[in-house]
Amino acid sequence: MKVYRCENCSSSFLEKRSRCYNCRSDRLLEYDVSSGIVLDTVQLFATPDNLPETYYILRISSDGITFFCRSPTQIGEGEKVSLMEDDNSICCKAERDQI
Amino acid sequence: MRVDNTSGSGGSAIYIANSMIKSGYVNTVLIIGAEKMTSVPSRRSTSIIASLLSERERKSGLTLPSLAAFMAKAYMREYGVGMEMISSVAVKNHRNGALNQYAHFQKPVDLSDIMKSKIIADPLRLYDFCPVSDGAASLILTRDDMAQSFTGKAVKIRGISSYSSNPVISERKSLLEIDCVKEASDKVFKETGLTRKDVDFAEVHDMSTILEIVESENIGFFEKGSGYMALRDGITEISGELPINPSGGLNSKGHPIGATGVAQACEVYQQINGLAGPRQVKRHEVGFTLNMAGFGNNAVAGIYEAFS
Ligand SMILES: [Zn+2]
Repeated sequence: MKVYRCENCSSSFLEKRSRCYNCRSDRLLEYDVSSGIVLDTVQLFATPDNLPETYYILRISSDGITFFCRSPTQIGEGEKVSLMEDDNSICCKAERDQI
Repeated sequence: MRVDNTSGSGGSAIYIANSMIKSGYVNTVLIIGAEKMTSVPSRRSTSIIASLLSERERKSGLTLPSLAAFMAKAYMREYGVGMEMISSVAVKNHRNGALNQYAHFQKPVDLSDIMKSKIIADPLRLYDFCPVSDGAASLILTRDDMAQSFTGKAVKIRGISSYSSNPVISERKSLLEIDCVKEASDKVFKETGLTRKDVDFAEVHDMSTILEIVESENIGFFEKGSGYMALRDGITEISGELPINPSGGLNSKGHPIGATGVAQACEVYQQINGLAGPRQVKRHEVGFTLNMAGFGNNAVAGIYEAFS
């Protein structure tokens, strides 16, 4: 999935911006992250109507950036996940499941 | 004029009306905050409310309750506090709401009922969140020199401030620091020359129980990591040193999105005038309100006092 980094101050962003909110530089680089480490998880039982009735939200750290992704199954803190993004979702899968 | 700033719409409307009067553009403003939420199924309203998140955070399936759950976990980890302590906010606020004829829920709940209720976003349960409510509130704001022509019980806005934070929550430095709450509060205290100690009671944005505790620290009423102690020691009770959410708060009074900020001001009006009946706080000269948009996208902090 695509993320962004300021060339000037190294701040990282999940959302695309025209300027860095930290130093106002317009030198923002787009880069890919494909895996990350789980920092924390929350299981949700009240979900939006376009999504499954329950799922896990994971807080992920990857290459200097922190963001959230969704998983249908529980993945523990400290585990490595691979990331997938399409037009409608940002999801992840435990790397242990892929071996 | 329509003011739409999600959960902060009411506070923002008061902020704008106050600015218009102060700048001399208008003399008097009628502010109406209203929301009808029960006409759609709860999963639809969850979806509608989640639409205030940034595009890619929404794609991850993030919701406001899940953010509150991450915040609660972070608080428990950081300060060694259990869920029972956090949920005690709901015990207090339902006890207060039971004394408020305008509250959605007017029945006390005990901790065991709360701990047995349905999990919404683990570890937070049904009672850790505000209900889905319909509601409305209104007030008239006017120039100081015209106030006495409306009522002998006018309340003065001593100061009101607004501040916006990065709406992309995962890009914030800490889950336990809500910049806009801190900055809006700092600004209003600076603007009025008052201190936190001057505040007699407060209405804050307890969309979830954990938010009341974290906001009370971010506003500066209590040190970081000691908001739960104030709750535990009864300081934030109606009879305490600094009552927080004597109305029952969003947790018990309800959170009809666009009405909430106006309803907070209405509660302050009643408290300052000694009209709050069984939930009347003892000291009621200076009231504070904190209305928040989204999960800390924006905050409006207000300080009110008796008109003299
Ligand atoms: Zn930068």
